[in-house]
Amino acid sequence: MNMDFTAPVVPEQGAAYMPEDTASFGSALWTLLRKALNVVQPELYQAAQTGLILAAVVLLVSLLKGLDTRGGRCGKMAGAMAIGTVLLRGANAMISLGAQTVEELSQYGKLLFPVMTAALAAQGGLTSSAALYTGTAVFDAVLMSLISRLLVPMVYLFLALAAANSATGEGMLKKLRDTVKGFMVWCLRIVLTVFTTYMSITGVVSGTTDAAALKATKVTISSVVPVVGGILSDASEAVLVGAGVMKNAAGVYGILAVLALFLAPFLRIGVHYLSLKAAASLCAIFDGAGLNELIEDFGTAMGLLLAMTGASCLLLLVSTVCFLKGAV
Amino acid sequence: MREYVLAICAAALLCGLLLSLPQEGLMKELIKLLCASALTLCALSPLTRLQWSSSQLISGDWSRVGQDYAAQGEKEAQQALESIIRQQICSYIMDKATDLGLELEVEVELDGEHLPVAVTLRGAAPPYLRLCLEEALSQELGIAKEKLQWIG
Repeated sequence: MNMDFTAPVVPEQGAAYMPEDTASFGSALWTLLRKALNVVQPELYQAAQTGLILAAVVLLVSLLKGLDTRGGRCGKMAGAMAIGTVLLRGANAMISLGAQTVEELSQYGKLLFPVMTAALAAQGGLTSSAALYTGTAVFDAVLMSLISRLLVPMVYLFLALAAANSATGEGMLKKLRDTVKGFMVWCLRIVLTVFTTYMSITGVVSGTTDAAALKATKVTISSVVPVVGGILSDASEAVLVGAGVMKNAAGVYGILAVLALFLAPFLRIGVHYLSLKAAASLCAIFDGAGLNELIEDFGTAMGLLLAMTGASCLLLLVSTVCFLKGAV
Repeated sequence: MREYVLAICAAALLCGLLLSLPQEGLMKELIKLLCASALTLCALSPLTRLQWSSSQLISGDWSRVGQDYAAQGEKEAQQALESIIRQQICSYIMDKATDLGLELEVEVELDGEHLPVAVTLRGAAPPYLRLCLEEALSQELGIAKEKLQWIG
């Protein structure tokens, strides 16, 4: 059979985590997860170091607060600056990592979905494959543009507002900071909701059209000369089954490749998120200057990054599953 | 981005210093208002430089591209189907010929719906066996006798 629907090879960034044997999805997923979890340990060590530095800063500021005759404002400003300096470098690295992961996922999707579209069309889903591709490509482009042009800069805006809010100590920018965060969450939620709705409706509507077309073809085949009809029917069945097998193999490989690209950065950002949340909780015990709110905000920024990378990955996974499920 | 974050932090520090000065009543409220306005303007300043259009957000005719990929897939499937049908019909004819004691090479021509329309048979065959094979092919495969070409 001269059909070839092979998923593109996983890019270099995810190659280290990609399991060698992708025939069994369950064991491949387990291998991938085990490999990706290896990145957690060094990140945990680094996060613990940062947590200790933060605790020391907060403790120092709390002690100095008693000596400050201006109600602790100078100490708080110095504390906010110190915490900002300690956390901004790590946060910047995580933001770059998140943005890069989203870009890599999008690039891989651009290679994977033409293969899935062609394989689904070969399997008889001509209308649904084109519709699924259109939806996936449009929403991927929208999400990618949104994240790179708006949401990533807004993470910096959020952090800047959080730092400024903490430094002034008046809570003037608190509402603006919360609005920025709310807007980012709302954007991601809207894009994903519209996307999943579109994919659900498209799958049902175009799937019905394809099923009707396939049934019409089968009726036509059965009406021709018996021997030729039998040969045509067998050959059609062989092509449909062959295309289905290739589509499933490409889809499973594609899902694993997407996870290989996504899991390690997601876990790294996740470790930072959890460690910052833990540090904020710890510092709240002896924080008399309200600095734990700034640490909490840095943790929230990591949470927003997790949401962005998670949304990009989810978009690719849902699309791939729709292509896999799109058999008529 | 770095300049922006530094500008925000610098503005926040300046505001913090201003607010830490000992003032009372209206003056304190005025300074607070000015600081809040300055910080908000500073924070939102990048928004004035944003230039957005739908064509920037969604570029490309995705629908047409999707149809092209789907058509490519269908074309590959059709080619595979044609190849299998051709192979199977050739095997069928050769089996028939073998049953009659003939050794032939067979070429099959298919129409747009993958139905056999013409057959070229290469090899020596007595006239009677030719007639038998032609009859079988015309009845079982629906190929017109005049579309059966003998070479050799």
